[in-house]
Amino acid sequence: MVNDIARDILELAAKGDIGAFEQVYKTTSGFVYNVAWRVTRNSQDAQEVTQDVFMKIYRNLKSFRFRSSFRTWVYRITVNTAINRYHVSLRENKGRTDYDKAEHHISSAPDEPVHMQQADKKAQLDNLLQQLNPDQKTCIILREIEGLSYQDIAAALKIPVNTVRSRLKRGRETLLQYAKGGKNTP
Amino acid sequence: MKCTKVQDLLKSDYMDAELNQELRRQIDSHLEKCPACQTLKQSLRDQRISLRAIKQKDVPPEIWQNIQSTIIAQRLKEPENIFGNAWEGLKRAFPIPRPAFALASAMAVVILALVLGQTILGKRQPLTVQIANETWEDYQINGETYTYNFGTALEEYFL
Repeated sequence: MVNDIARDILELAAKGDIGAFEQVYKTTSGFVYNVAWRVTRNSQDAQEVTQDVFMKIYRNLKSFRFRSSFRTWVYRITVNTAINRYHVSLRENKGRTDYDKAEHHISSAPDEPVHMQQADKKAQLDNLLQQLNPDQKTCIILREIEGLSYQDIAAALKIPVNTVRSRLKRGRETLLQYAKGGKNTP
Repeated sequence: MKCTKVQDLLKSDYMDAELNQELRRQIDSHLEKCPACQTLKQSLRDQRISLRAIKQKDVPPEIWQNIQSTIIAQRLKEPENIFGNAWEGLKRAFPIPRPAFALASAMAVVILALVLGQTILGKRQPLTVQIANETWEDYQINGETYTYNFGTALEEYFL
């Protein structure tokens, strides 16, 4: 979750103060990069999304009128940019083996040491997230990993709170099914 | 409360602490008596623990360096952009085709030259007329008046 940023820092950043903008970046980049990485599942895409998000913030901060929360604004830009990038990559790279996925498959080899198997359990669940559709995945990431409230998720995705509720419920059901082996794991 | 209803709420509002006190109390009392729903609650808790244990990735430092250099590059371009944008704005406001624009410019230059010429010539004309007019002087000699033509000032100059 993104911590609140003082209004005067945001106003300075909006006027072009690079030091203030760096503070905004330091406070929010962890959230932006991690959401981007979990949605796109590719380090290169996550880097590009993070850069895009901050350039959008930099260019549009002047017109930000504080009617909505800055955090929600950042969530919305991040999620939209990451989902768009995910769809573009999906179209462009059909059939290409993703480096990050390849790395995961190598570490899941059957003759690996025990400590690697344990580390892989987390990676496996992380990988299970990719079996969800993008809408459910985004809700699960924002709620379970980033800890956003229903209200914040609804505002970030511009959807009703009831839709957030049903996406989370279906996403959890799907993850439970995969965990039980009811569906083919990747 | 029925198991289906309890399980729906477990997978959403109950897990996310979005339930009101009364509903939460009803579900808790159902859970005490229902092993199936208890199991589901535990599975959902395990799922949450695993998801939250997924390590947060460190942000690569080169991202900020790239952002910073992009901002600096944009700022260097900014003065150029101001004029560029103004010119583009004018072009959009007055969408004149190129040949028509050239013709209009030529016409404007001709008209300007005529107007300026007229103004300058118009101001000089009285002086020129005065110079060109013959100068007549009256002289009185022994009570008689003689009018004498001295010619033009121009002629006088050359004489």
